[in-house]
Amino acid sequence: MSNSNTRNPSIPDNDANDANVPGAILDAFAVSVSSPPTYADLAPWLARYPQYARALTDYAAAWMLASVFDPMPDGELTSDPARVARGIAIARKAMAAAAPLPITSLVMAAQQTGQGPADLAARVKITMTIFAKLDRRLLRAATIPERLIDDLAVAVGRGAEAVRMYLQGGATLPAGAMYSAASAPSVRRGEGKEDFFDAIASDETMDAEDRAAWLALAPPSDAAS
Amino acid sequence: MSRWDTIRTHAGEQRTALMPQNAPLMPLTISGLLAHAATATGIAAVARPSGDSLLYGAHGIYDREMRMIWYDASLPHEMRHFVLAHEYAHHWLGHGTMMNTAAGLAPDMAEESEAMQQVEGYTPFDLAERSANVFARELLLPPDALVPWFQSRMWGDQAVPDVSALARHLGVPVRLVYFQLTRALLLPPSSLSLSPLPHAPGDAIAGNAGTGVGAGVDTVRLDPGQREAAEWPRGPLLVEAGPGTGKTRTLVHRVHWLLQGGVSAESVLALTFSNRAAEELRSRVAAVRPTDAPRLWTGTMHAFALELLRKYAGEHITGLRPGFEVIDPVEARSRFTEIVVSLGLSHYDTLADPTAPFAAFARAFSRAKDELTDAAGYAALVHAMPSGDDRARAGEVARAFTAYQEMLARDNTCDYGDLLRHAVALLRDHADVRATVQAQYPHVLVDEYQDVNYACVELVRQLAGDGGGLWVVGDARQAIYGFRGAKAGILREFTAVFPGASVRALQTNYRSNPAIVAKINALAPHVGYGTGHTFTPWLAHRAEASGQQSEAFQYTVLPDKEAEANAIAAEMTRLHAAGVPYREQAVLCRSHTVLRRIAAALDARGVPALFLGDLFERPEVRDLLSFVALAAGPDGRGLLRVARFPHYAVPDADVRVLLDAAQAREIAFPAALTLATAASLPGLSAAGREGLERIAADVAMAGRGGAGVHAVLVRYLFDRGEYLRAYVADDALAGQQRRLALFQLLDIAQAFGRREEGRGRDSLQTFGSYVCSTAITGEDRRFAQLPGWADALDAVRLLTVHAAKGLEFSAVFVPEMRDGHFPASGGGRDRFSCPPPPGLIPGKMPPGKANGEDGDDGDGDEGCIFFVALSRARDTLFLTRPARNGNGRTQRTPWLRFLGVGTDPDFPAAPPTPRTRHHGTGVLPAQIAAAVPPFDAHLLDRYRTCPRQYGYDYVWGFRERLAASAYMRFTRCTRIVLAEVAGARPGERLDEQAALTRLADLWATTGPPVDHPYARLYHRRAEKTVCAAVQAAPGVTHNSYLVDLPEGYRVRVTPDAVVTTDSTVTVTRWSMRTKDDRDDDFYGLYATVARTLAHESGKTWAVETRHLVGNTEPLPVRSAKNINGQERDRWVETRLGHYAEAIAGVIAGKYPAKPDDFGCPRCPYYFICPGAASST
Repeated sequence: MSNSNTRNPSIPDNDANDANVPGAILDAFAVSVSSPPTYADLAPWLARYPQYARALTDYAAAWMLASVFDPMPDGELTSDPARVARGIAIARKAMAAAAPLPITSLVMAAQQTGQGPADLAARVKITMTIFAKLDRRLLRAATIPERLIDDLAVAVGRGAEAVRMYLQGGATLPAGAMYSAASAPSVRRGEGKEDFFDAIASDETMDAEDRAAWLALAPPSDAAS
Repeated sequence: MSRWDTIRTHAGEQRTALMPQNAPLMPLTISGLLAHAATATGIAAVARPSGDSLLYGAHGIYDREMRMIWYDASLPHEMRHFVLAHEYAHHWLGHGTMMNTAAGLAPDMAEESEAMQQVEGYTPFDLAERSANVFARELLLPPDALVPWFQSRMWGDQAVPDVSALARHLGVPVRLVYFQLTRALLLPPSSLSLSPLPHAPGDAIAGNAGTGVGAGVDTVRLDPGQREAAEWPRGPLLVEAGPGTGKTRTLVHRVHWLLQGGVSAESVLALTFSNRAAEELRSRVAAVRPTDAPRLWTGTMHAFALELLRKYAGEHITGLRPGFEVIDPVEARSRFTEIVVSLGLSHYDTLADPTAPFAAFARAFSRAKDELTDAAGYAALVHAMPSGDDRARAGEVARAFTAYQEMLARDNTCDYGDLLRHAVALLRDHADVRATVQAQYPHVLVDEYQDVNYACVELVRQLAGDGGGLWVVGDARQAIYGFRGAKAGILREFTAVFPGASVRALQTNYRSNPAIVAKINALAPHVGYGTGHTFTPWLAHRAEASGQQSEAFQYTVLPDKEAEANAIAAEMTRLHAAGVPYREQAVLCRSHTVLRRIAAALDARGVPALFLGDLFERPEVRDLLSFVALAAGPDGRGLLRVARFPHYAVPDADVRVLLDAAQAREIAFPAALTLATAASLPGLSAAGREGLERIAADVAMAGRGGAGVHAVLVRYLFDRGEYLRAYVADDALAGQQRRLALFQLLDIAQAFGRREEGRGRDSLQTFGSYVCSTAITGEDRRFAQLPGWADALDAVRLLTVHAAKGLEFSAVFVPEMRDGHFPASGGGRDRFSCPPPPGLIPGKMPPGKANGEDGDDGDGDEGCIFFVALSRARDTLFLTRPARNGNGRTQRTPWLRFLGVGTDPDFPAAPPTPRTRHHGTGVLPAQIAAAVPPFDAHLLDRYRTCPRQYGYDYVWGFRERLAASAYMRFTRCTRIVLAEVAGARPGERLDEQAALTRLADLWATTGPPVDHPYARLYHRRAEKTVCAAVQAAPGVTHNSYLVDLPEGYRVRVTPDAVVTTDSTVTVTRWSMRTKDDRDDDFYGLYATVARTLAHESGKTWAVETRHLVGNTEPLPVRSAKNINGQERDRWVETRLGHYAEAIAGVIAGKYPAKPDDFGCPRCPYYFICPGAASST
């Protein structure tokens, strides 16, 4: 019931899912996994998107099959389905790199650009506490300063809109988290989420200068609080 | 090395690595240690305010993705240290992100616990939590560091007086210090110190370590059959794995093969039937795939069912809401008190303890649930039964079943049997859930498939889908759990239940000497599979010299049990001298009774034998229970035993002085202990006063803080230390077993506290009730199992065959190979038996089917049990039969006919033992006896029931000191009115109205408390009884009579009613029960009265029982019904003799305990009684 690459399936995302189509999900799957995909790669995606299980499975299976064949000689055409699937997979991966794909997590976005979570947090001048809250979408998106969204977008090489869309999504648990079935974690949702500036104010690990800088961006009423 | 040893070792290595300049004890502060941990791991720990969203309600989170630890800033700093160590442990153990709440963060939760519930705490998450707790404890405070402190009360050069101070000094939770002290002082050295066992060649392939703990697994060296089974491409597959054929190795390789083929660990579900088997499988998978093992779902079917129910309770499951509770039989019995009153039971009517039939009921309910039959289905089956006594009994069981299930649903609870039933219904009725679970676990592996019952099969069927990923392993010949619905037939039907299934058999026995394999092969065709099955004998892998083979199997007939014990002890000693460790030798028996006898015999012959026996009957355990009882108050019973602890040594006379003073001044215990410190209490000896003062101080100290029974016990044992010191110094096996028993008790107390704390019931009083209840329900048998901690002790293991399943030993001894023991006689139908209605168990053998040939119920199980016993042996199998059992001759077990052991030698029958009249020994000369005042018959009845209880009641005077039970108050009130109805007051015979008024008056002043759970039941019964007595009263007389006993003593007896007609004098017992066919000795007194009265008037005489409620027709006393003349006189004389014996015992001051499984746990002196050890 745990996996290091996915959100816990029991916590639904509120944002991007509705807009997703199978192709987009396949794209996201393709960019998230090593080549060729293993069942371990696939299982969390199946759990998260059971409605697209067949498409995901076919796709992964074709890719796995294709991987066992020798590379095609240059210029040779083939009707072998596995080879075709492999070609599709490679093409999708290539497309994925170029297209404005949805961000599935800030951690993964950082990793795709060769950064760890701590690197990314330091780069945008926030603590790991704030970064984790952003990654799990525990902060009310409307209170997150545009500057931070822009900084994150630049840092991960994505558009600000993609970052904004991600942060507007539903709160999640840490990836692959295990917990007792008898005491499920409590997750704040919607208006129950924490205000960004409250989170900054309560973060004692943040450098004083950085904290002041962030709090300076707070709207007057928030700043007062 | 067990998994837990590995974790502890790992933790020790980390500790050393963090403190390279380590001094012997604790050179760094704990916070310094944790700071080093942060540096070494690169994982920072950040406090968050309680309720912060990043904590998700947890106390601590190991966030693997972020490489961070988040923890609740509001935790006390000692607990914070433990939480941080726990989270770093998750990192070092390779776990994923873990969200830890208070339930999992337990500094004192034992890694192995017989006291824990059998299903809670066994999910992969729970096990990861437990692993991290073990790691954290060892990291923060290794137990060895505490031994010098216990001995000196010095930590380094600093005096630290008690555990609380030590915990504060170290900065760790006090519960952690107590736990590590418990380990350091009560448990044997770690199994790390075990020397390698002399395994037979090829054993590495079979792969079962001697004591059941998994050793490392070589996954490459499989034989072709094992490999074919392990690498079977697509199921369903049944692997028939006989004993020693490498079942677990093949299963482990199956897992390995799946994972190697790209299957994710999360998609493999490995189900077992016992937590021990699950643990072994987990350990052995971990040896092959250390990083994958924690991600596999490995556990019992019940634990898996529980996890499903936790996840889907609510909308998907009828009768269970989120947050439901799983109750054990002890708790179920406690709740049954609420409903038993309304059931109107007649056949199961037990006024003294209306819940007495519950254990039998619970077994009946459980069997119904094994067959997926609910209460309504059970009632329908009963309805179809022909009229008669059986149907009436079954009808009451059905009524109780319905009420019980309604109660469970109302309370949002379920019992163990419900887990599978609900899980099957969940998967069967909800296609979406079934699809999700099947998608999550496409590979379902089932170990010990012969142990599954119908409910398990259904669960597997729902999980397995088309069966492509289903792989099960089992052996029908080892199906020994027929009493819980597991039948060999279930395994045989595998291919019918799962169409297209294949079957493969493992053919080579790697475990046993060829001579033993030959015996197993000889027995195998006759057990488990029934007729029509072609058995292919197992090949013996081991090649032995012919000399070794001839010694490998022995069957010996000895003259008697004494000689049998001698022979076993001699052979054990010989083997030990030849290099076989005692822990590699086991005695396997069919019953605990025989185990107790063999244990005592080996002990007497100097052979170390590991056998805890009945935990609550062990002296050291009763010592502590008495201490708890004394601290709980209010009557001071516990003082009788505590005062005799050597370090108090309070004379009995001083105890009596204190008890009398407390009673006179109406001061309750434990406060009354302080009377001993007052100089104003006259009559105390100096030694007595000093001892009592120490007891008072210890009770006050242990109770300080009032934090539940476990806290009281550990404070007493470790903070004071006097009681424990003598045991700690005892290195003999007996001393080690005493310490193990104390460990078990602490484990039970702790599990009790953890469970009851939330209900506000963790008190000393409720713990006493709980202990009694575990004994009453038979749950205490679990605690007789040796904990894994005992593995390191070099002592012979004494086990029931059931407990030995899955284990193997170099030498196995099976005594008492006599008919009636092997196979067991079954014991017949007891008072509370609940025969299942026809149709409940599909395919149950019709009566009269050949015994032992079909491997199903009844003797079929016995054949399998015999097979399991034989097949545990690697090198030596030693069977014995005592030719005599007491004065009788025994017949050898019929199962031996398959082993080709020839004809048994003939032993002459023992000469008959002359009957001695024990009462003669204490009899006084006739003229003096005549001067002894008459004894009341009802007091002597108490003595005859249990002399020890009589002693406590009337010699120590606790009958007056103890508050009368509700039942005693009920009977007292009712008996008074009955006597008056029968004419006890001449000229004042009561009519119905007057009788009820009299009852109401008595009830108001001396009846049961109105809020007692049975008050209504008792009152109703009392009124009915009184009204019936009024109807029966015309013509009866009620007087006391003196009965002369042969030795010159006299007994005063007051029969309930004497009815004299023209021809007959009948003395009648008025029973308040609805059914009562006991043949008590007092009928001898009744008969004497009747005979005397009849003789005076020239009439005949009779004795009878009249049930005033229920069947009101008078019943002749059974054993007096069909006898006449001299035979009847002898019948009477025998009973009178029992009264004479009782009087002689009282006069001689002899109060031995008369242990009785039914009565003892219900006795108010259960904890203080020396039990079978008492002789006076």
